[in-house]
Amino acid sequence: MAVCNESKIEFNFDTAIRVYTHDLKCSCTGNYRSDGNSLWPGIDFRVLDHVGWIWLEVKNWRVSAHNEYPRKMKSETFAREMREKFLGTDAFLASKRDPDALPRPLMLIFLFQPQHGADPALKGAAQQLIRNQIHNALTPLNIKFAVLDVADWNRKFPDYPARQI
Amino acid sequence: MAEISHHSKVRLENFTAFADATFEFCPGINAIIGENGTGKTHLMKALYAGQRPRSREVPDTESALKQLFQVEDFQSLIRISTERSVALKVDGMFGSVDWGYRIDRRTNGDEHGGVYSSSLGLMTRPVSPSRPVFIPATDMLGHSKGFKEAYNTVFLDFDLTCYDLLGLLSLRGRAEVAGALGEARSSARAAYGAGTGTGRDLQSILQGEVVEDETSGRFYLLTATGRMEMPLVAEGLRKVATLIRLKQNQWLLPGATLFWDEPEVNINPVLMRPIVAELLSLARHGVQVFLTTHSYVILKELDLQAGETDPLRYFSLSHSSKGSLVTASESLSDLEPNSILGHYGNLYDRDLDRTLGGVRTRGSV
Repeated sequence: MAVCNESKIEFNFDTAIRVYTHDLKCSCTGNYRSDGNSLWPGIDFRVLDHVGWIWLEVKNWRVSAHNEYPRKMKSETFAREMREKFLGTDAFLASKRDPDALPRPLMLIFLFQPQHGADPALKGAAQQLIRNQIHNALTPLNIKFAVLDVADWNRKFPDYPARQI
Repeated sequence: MAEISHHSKVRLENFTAFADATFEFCPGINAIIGENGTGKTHLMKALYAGQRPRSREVPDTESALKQLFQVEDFQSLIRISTERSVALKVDGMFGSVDWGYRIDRRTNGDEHGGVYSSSLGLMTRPVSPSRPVFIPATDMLGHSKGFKEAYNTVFLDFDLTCYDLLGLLSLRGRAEVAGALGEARSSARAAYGAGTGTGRDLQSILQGEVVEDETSGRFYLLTATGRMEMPLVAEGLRKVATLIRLKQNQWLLPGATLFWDEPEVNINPVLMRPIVAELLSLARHGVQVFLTTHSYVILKELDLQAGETDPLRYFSLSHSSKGSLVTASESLSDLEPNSILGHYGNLYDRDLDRTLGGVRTRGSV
């Protein structure tokens, strides 16, 4: 039973097996665990369910950088930053501490919500950039990566509904 | 300064794909999207038919319609309907001038084998003087030699927009007035150097001047290094050259109307940025622009480049059992339905399905 808020987007993870939050400070309620970090970079949520892991990074560009996100989304710098977040030290080590972590399938989801909706061509370009970075990371894991907005998320993961608050 | 006239609205009744559709245009760029067969090009031709000046070869609206739509009988333009007495009507407003035409359909005989007679109403008031130009999807700069003579003497399966465009491209303009070829070559060399241009405006993309040899009736691209026959120039660049030529001829002056059918044809998307910049510049200088497109790049360039004060309106045409439906918006993100962005979304969804699999629920593995 966990309901988590990040960047004014609320996720209901009630039906997940387990939910981890990265930060010590998080606005979650219910049954969740915190990795307890405040220093290292990491992703917002790691969700375990019967299929495997979903690692979720959330950017709500309705509330911040709403004029800059197209430039950010297509930059290599941002793609590398996302790789570090997903495969960087903290979250990756955290996954290795967890006996359930491997070898289950791993989905990395970058969820972003721009102010006026997400342009599919922009999502596709950003997805390709970050995907290239992740697939260049020489990890033995079978990782799937996608860029979604809230509407995409709700279509793909109806058991974990999200809404903007 | 006199007020510039432009198309402000038109109503099409029983006109090909349209049962009853009303458009309210902006004085700047009017971008029209929609799936094939929704009537985008027909809308522009309906306007052009009303605006085109009469001439010896095309003396009336009836001739203009037949040659614009390449139909033997202009009754073909009446939307197919179960109502036998249906009439095609076009009513528009250009500046303060009401204009329009109608085609009545009447049966004369039995229901199935009846012989149709028709009458084409005269325009209530002509739209003139005005300066319309229609750039069709087909390039014409590379097909100029003998075209006009052939068009006037034998049946050619090209529509009137092709003929008209060649006429405008042949107008003597600044390029010829500037003098002989040698002078133009020096001018080109001075403007563009021996190598590549420094800017990405249209002229620097073309790397030369468009000139017509009146003896041969052919167009050439005159660059710093020589003269190239237009058929050797890439077809996409010929479209760029067409626009430049119309500017050089001083046809695209304030008050002109530019209709451009699918500017993206044969043009690499990287050129869309300067082309859209040019269209916006024309609109800012009083040229009303109509364009149809299937191109995401054009739509996005318009969206990105247009300033808040630029008059720009998007129109979406969609199929329905009652003829094509029209929606309009000043904002691309608010335009619904948007067949182009919709299909990009569909591609994205399919990419997600391939990457993530289908919908993930507790019942799925």
